[in-house]
Amino acid sequence: MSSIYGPRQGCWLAMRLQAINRILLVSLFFLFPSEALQAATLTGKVLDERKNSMLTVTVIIQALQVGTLTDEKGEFRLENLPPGTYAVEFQFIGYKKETRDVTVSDVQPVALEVKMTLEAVIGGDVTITGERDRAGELTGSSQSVLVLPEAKLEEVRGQTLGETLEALPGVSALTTGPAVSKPVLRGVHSARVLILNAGLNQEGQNWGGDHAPEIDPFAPSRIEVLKGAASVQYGAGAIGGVIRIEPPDLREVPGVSGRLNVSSFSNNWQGAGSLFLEGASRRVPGLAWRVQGSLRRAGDARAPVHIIGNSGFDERDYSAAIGLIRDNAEVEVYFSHFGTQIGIYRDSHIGNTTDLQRAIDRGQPTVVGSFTYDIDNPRQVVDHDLLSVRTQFWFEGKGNLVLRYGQQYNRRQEWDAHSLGGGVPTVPGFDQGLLSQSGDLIFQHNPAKGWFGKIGVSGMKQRNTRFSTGFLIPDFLAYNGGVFALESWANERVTFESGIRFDYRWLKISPNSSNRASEQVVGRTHTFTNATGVVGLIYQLSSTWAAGANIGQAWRPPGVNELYSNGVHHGTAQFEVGDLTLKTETSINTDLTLRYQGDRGKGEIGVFRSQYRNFINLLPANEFVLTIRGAFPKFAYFQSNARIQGFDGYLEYELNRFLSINISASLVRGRDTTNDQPLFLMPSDRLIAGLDFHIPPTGRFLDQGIGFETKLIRRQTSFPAGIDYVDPPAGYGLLDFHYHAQMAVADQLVRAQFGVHNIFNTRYRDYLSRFRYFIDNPGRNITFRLSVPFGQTTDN
Amino acid sequence: MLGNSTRRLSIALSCVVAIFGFACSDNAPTSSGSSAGEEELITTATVTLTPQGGGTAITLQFKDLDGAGGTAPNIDSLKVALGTTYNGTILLQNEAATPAEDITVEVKNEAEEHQIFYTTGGSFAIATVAVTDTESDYGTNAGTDLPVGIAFTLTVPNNAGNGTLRVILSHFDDDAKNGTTQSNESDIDITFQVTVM
Repeated sequence: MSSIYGPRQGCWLAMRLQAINRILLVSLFFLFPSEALQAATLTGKVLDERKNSMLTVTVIIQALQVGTLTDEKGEFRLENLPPGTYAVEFQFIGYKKETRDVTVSDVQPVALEVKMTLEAVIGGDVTITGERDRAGELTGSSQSVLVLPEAKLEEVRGQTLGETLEALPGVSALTTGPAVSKPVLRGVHSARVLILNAGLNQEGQNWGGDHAPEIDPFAPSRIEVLKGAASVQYGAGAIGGVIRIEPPDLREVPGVSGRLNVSSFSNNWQGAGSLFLEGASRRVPGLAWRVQGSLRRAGDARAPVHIIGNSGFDERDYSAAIGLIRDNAEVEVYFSHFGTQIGIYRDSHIGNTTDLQRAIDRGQPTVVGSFTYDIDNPRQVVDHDLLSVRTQFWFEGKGNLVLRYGQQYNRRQEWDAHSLGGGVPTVPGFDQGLLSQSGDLIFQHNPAKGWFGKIGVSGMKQRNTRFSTGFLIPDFLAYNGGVFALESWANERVTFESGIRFDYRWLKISPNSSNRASEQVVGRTHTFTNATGVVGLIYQLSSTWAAGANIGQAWRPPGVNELYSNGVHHGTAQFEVGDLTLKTETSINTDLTLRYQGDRGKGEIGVFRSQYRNFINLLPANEFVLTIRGAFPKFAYFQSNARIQGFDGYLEYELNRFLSINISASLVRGRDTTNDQPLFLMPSDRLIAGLDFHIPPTGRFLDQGIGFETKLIRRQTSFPAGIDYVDPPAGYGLLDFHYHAQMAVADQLVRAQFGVHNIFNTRYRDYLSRFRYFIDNPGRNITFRLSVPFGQTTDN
Repeated sequence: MLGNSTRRLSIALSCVVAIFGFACSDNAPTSSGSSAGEEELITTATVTLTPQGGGTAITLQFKDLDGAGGTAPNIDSLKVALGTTYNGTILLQNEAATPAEDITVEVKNEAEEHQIFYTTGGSFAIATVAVTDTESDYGTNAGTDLPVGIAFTLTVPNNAGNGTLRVILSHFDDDAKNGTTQSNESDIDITFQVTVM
């Protein structure tokens, strides 16, 4: 019998949770008595993943302070609602919170169908969950996890991933001009941060500081940032953290709907847009699809006193997904293409150390250019294809199994300013293709007696191929394999997490014969193995406070660039030399997190410490390499022990119905403990504070707000001597303004946003800008965004 | 009960994609050992100095056949006679290619984007270099006819001492060349030790 209680049948935990749900709802009514007396009606049905009805699910419209519970058929009914568009929330402890934007009118009642999915537990698809009921949010993870839900993402659409995440506590951006930015999590980036895109480890030439993540900013419906090591769940790449990019779930209710997003930016006259369409079949139950395409086009960015020549970009991305869910099985196929062409500021292309010094002394562009959309050399041309095939099976009373196959192909071309003789280059200076194929098999058992967890195996094959000219890293073939197990136990106050993982990496370097010394490579095979473990504890201090502690090991094999680099790095005029004998980098990471989740606000403070062994670090080798272009200082990859520690946190608090404040702060300190000196390029200390004024709903406007935000960056005073050409730039402060509105237009919830970034057009150079030697960061930027859904109302 | 058809379908689909995927990898270009096309390289700069009053020409070479890194470059030192003026020329080559490529030809073709600067240092600093060619020597010239520096004279006064001669090939973007200022992009920057006789 497949009962209405479905997988929860006989589970004492679920029974207790239902009771807790009732209490939650009752207390909610107590706090906010309902006063609505209008005519619209919203009805619906709530189902679990296997389409079984769910009873006693809490259904709440926060804006109206009304709510109800579902009955035995999983159905609910909310009457006498004032017509308008609302976010309707569905909560059931143990399940992910669902939110639907629904427009109700007094003309016809609206019926919803909502599917709830099991809350995950620790790690994987699971740990990083956010936006749940209060208890869930308080006790979700023993590490610090930040969530950007769709509504938040709508306010920043059109920006790169680095820019989108930059405002979060503990996150900063490493930039190479206005168009290339990489997220930095608690002081580390590139090969130490894993980006999980639609469930797959994003595999490009991640190691390069000027290689931005290949992510369509319009594709995700949710971004989660796990600060801190997560090697047990995700393997080697996650030594410094995980950024999880999630496309939207497929539509469940039959019908077709879509959304059009447009954004414009005044600084570089960027226009960006995205069209999204989704549908679910009426004739074939459980069959659904989604297509989406985006365009971003920008010209030269403007610093307050000059134009940053050749800094435009042209990006075209698209994705499609199709899925079928039946009974106990589901299959979903997702494909995405990312393609961009990015101009690189021309004066950053320098010949040798004398040239670099001359460019630094000048401090501004050689040629005062005029604005153009044209993209000239030097430039990057990057394409990334990603295919994910995910199947999931549910086993009655036992658990579920996820099988995922992934394939990615990354092609990166970097064109130099000109050929050595002076002409237009006929081939790129760097041109590599990286093909990655991966498979994962994960079994998650059903919760039993407070225990929940999963086991999994994952494997990947990777081949790097160099095309035509320019040598930076050799061709290689690599196989990675890992097995892991995660198990947690929870009662109403305490959650205990634990995990263990074993990894193996086999790397075969293809020989390269060349008459150029810097390109000669002898074929070799490297193997790396590592075992990691993690334990975490979350203690719920009260209904509004929780504390978490996490201690875990993490590791990272040396990257191919760290093993084999051999040549001049233009832009920094360093002769970089790899080291074949580099060992695995390991770390022990401790995180303490204190969370607050109250009626009027939420906040979190995290304190962290990562103790690295064999930290791989590029340092001066105190000698010069003499070349026909002059003498270059030699930099080599050294290993030493290091420590990165600090704290970050935020608070969002409603002072009253109209006014709310937010504040966030980040502080990171990195030290090479072997050589007793600070680590290079650690993010500056930062404080962001904002004030928001909420305008009560009037007429068509369901929600409006204006806000100011100030960002204060301190000058970095902790840096190693003798590595950099110039000392870190001065600190700075920027002021931003934003206005947002949600309007009901023809039964659709239209969102608009207007903002001014860097209102006073302040001149500044950021320490994490790789172009701070040459040029200021971009100045004032006026943004406008519009998001127009269509067909979003439910099928009835 | 169990969605057998769906399960079968999903497994089949995974297999199809997996096969398709692996097939793709076979199509991807594989490593070719030696590099398919060489990026341009200047291995050798040869300066020839001929005394104006007649006599044996002096040749002076910077040679780094394996490019940056590896074996250190071979750099000649210069012996010049006091009170002598030399006619000089420079030849740039890629001797790593077979046959050797003459890069000077490209500099001539792009004369408006290049200039070779010569500076003297140490006690040799009172020796002077005057560039004797201009852009129009190598092609038509639309704007100001600026110096190039492939041909020059070196004047060594009687009171010069030992020092250095530095040769810099500057590459200019668009309109930045003005005949006197070096650019940000030095394609060559080499220094010869000079002794006077």
